[in-house]
Amino acid sequence: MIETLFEPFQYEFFRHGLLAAAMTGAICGLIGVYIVLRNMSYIGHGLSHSVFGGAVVSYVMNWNFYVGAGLWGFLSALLINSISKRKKIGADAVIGIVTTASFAVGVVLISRVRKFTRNFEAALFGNILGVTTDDLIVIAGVLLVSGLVIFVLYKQILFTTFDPEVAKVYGVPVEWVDTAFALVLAATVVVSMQVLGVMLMVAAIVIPAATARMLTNSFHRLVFGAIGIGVFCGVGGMYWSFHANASSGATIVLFASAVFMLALGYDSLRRWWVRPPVSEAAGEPQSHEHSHQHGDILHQHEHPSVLDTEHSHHPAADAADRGAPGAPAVVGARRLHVVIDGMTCSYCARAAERAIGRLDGVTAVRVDLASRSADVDLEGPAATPERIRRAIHLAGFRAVESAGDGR
Amino acid sequence: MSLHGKTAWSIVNDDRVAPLPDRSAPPIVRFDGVTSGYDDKIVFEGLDLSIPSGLYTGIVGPSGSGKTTLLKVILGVVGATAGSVAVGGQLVKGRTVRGVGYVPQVETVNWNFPVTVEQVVLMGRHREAGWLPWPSREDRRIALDLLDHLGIRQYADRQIRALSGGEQQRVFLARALISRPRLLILDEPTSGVDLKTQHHILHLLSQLNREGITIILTTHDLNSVARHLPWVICFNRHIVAQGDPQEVFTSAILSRTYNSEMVVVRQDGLLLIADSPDVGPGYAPRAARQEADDRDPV
Repeated sequence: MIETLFEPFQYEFFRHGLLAAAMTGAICGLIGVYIVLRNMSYIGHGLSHSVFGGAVVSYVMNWNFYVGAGLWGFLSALLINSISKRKKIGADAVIGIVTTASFAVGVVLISRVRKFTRNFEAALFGNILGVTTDDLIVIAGVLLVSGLVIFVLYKQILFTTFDPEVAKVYGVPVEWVDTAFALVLAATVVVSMQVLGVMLMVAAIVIPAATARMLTNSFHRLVFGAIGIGVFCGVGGMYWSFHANASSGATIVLFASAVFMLALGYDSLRRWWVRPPVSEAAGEPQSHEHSHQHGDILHQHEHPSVLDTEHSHHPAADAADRGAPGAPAVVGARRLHVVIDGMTCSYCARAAERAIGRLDGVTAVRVDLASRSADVDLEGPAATPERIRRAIHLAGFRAVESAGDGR
Repeated sequence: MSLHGKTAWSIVNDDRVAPLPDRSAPPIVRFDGVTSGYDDKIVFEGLDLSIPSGLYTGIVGPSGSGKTTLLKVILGVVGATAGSVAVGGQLVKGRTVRGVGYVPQVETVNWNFPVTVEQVVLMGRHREAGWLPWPSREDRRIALDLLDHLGIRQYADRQIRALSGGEQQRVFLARALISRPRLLILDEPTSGVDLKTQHHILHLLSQLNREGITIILTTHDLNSVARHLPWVICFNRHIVAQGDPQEVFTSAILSRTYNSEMVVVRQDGLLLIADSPDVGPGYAPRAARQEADDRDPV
């Protein structure tokens, strides 16, 4: 075991590679948080392909790889940003055009100058064995600078990521923040290229953040979690690569994917295990609003109330149906408030009103379209909430809740 | 403004309508021949508008009538291609003006975003707060005080999705209020919440208005406007009419605003608006409808 950990250390290439993988893991994890939250995974994917063109061009022109490829990536990011502002073309289409064209530039140059097929493969899949001390210094520099940029612009980037339009209203220089972010992203892509290669890079950016996102709802923990997972996967992937004698970029990505699957499994287990306590939903009528009043959002709610489901057989739901939990059937005059789902216009409201009004024991109905609900006055034993619910159902709507008699 | 007083926010059953401001006071929003739109599409042209300081006003109109664009021009997020826009006496030109709070439509919020209520509210203090990633003790105190007054302090550490519609609306109201704005702009604050919550929100706003904040909101709910707001602007790419809803909401004006027939019923001082001419006797007694039609022309 100990040997597994320390044996590779006698080789300089491994020490360098491990350090490079850990540092790029940290950068990719950090940047990935924003990429994932902004739904920009595709831009990360595209940008890495785009940088490939820049890398080949700078090789042919004998420029410094980092300067050439970095500038190329940054300009592609800005180009994508500015073209996709024209709303007629979607951002994804623009990314597809710009980055693939840029990639094609690299392929054309390579096919004309046959001699660097070897570098071609390294650029595509990473060549961590060739990491030099200079490379390490550049990676450390990028790690430091991107960390610093995100530290200083933390609030601005968070606000811009969450709600760019409102951020603008509150004086956040949204365009500058986006530009700074594009610069950091381009730098990340360029330094990760050596380790992971163009084809595998996006996974290293997206997976740590996506994994951390499943484990926490807190933004701070998401940031630190993604960095930690990034480093962990980089290191784990390197060891795997050494012992399995396989390409390091691929093992890092596979290792990260395995971690992601573990987190996914844990998250599913947790959801299955932690069910909301039943009493919370059936207890006071107030808590129903919790899951009903926010339109589309309610369908994704994590704590469905018991009364949500038509087929609930929980005693608490039945008790609520009867109007008074535990008490004998009420026969005097009483009022029932029903929330009705599916009414979209005043005709609907009218139809629901008629359907309820026809029932025996219903003395008055008022359906209110705005609040999607009805107040029903009842008298005698014939009128039960269950029958009203069924009548609403037959009229084509859904009674999502019926709680207690009006006080 | 006593945002941080002890008694504010609790009044929800107070039906007093805020008094109309002095129309001769300098306007807080002033449009002179403003044309605006997106790319190749003009939304409104040559618009003149003056909103006096202290007004509580609703903008109503059909979808696509340019209500939201109008708000965004005031906010400085969407530019004017012609004419001039002044907010608080300052010209808005491709930038936003201080002292304006904004509550966007709930549909535009990314509810899955991993931020807590407190973090969202603190975003509103962007101009006042320092650059450090974490909030100062002062920032936190102000945010928690405000949440307290809005009755949602207990949710400060919750992720924003784990709240009810009304609570969510108050979170974004808090974000808009934390910078102590003189002008508060809300895009459909009453959509997607139930009737009771709508009333809560509108009363909360009227309370704020009485504390001196000018309020402009858009809404589709004409009946709420009629009941709660002292001033209304009927808008459909131009101003069709503006004034006290009791006077402005007539079948003629609303039908012109919405390009479709609208029925306005007045009975015992109550104003009811229906969006289609034939909703049945339960909604509009024939006699009352007739009476309403007779009275229509203004």
